[in-house]
Amino acid sequence: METVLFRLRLPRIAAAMLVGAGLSLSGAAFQGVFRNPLVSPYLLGVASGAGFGAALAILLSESLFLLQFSALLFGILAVALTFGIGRFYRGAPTLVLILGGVIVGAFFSSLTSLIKFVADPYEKLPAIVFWLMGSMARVTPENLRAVGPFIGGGTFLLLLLGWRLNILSMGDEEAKAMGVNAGKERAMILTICTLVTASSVCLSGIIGWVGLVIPHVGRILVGPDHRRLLPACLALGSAFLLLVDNCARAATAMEIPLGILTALMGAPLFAWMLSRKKVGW
Amino acid sequence: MRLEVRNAAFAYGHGDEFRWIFRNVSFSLEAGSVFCLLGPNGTGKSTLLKCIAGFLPLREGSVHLGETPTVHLSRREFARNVAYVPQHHVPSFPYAVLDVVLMGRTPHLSYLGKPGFRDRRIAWAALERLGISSLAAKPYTEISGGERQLVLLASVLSQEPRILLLDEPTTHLDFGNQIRFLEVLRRLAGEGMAVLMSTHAPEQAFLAGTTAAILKEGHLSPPASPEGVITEQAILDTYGVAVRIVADPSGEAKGCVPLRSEK
Repeated sequence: METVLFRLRLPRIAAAMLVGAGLSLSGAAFQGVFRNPLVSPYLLGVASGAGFGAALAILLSESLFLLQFSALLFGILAVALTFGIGRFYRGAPTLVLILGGVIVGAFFSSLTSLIKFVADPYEKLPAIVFWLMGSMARVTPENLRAVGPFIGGGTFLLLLLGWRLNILSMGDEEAKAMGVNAGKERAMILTICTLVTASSVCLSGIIGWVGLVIPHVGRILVGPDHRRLLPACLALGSAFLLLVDNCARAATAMEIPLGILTALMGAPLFAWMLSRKKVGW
Repeated sequence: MRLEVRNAAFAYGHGDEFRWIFRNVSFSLEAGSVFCLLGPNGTGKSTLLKCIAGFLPLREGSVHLGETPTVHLSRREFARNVAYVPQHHVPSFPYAVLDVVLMGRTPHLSYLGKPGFRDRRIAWAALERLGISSLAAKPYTEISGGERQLVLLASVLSQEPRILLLDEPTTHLDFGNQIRFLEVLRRLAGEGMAVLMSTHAPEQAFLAGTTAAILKEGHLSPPASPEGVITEQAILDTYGVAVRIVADPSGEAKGCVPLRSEK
């Protein structure tokens, strides 16, 4: 009984809330920095990189630790590559970053497909596919202790940066004119978000939708001001993913991948909210 | 506080695409003056303002704030003294007007600081000064372009700068708001602010300017009083159109009236 509670249930609850909060806040920060409500924290390629890292590890070994480490490593590497591509070009810095993300994302997605293609279709392939769809089933107290602090710490830092995000979202020159070193602060915020999302992905696989939509739900409820939006995302994101994870675990006899359910439950909810209130962005 | 531009030059590109935008631009902006920068489209007025604001690097020369070269100042220190309003602002999220005005307080806040009661009071005063306090709670994405320009001005006023850089600030304003806007600039200058604004309307220089200069083909004419700089010949040389400069007998009002081109 105690084992179930402390080894399985509690870590899983904590992980679901951490990941939900981390992805939501990163999403809000990404949308603010890029001044675009349609971007998600996976914009710069962290998910495709991590997906490739995980698939590679599944292909080559059985170790859960190696899987998660490889996902984290390649997730961060992908974003670093995106920044590197951005360095080559001058011009609108955010646009170049987005293009870099597209390039890196496509590259790693192809590599992942290649691994799926060569993987053993009876054991390895389902494991890869299942991982890519996201799940909280592999959370243990050990791996939660290893990456949880990154998610929690990064999320906490983002919470403090609400006013800076307001300023950055006004535009590059506007922010500079208000005394903000826009380039540096943007890079710093994106680095924090990347640590948070890469850690989330390494813990739970690729969970889409949360980072894109929770910020919108937050804006509908509390408005666009990041000083209020970020705490709202913290509450909404952690509650939403906890709820969805409960459904994933308990709704049917077999566990449903989380990434499927976030959209399946979130999409109608979001559509309903859109129809209820005018969305502001 | 005095802003001085010394032998400034700016160019785009490298190698074959290298192109000077302006060279040997020197002038100083004194406290209490309204400096009107005139010149044809695409002549580099905005570029010059951006160079002064530190968004674009000068190829030659320097900008000094008091005795300090601005390249030695942090963005924050610079922003406490110099505010800048861009010609075009693309709004992003529907922040309340008051929040946008509050953003001007940022260089006075600590890094993780948020605006407090005193900042709010300064922001309100800026809104009231421009007569737009009724907009305070509205989303700034849903007001007209002219109102938004006034909101951005209110924002830089709450920044409490000593120098204002305005890039064609009256473009979207209706006639009444243009005049009221210029009156505000004049009063600010009367309180010791230095204003540098680019404009396409010579009348604005007559109405509010203490100094004017024309930037044309990469060269800045010697700054002087608007009456001295804006002559019928100068307008013809600059814009290629014939005008008559007319003044009413009292000498209070002065304007440029375009002449019909002769057949």
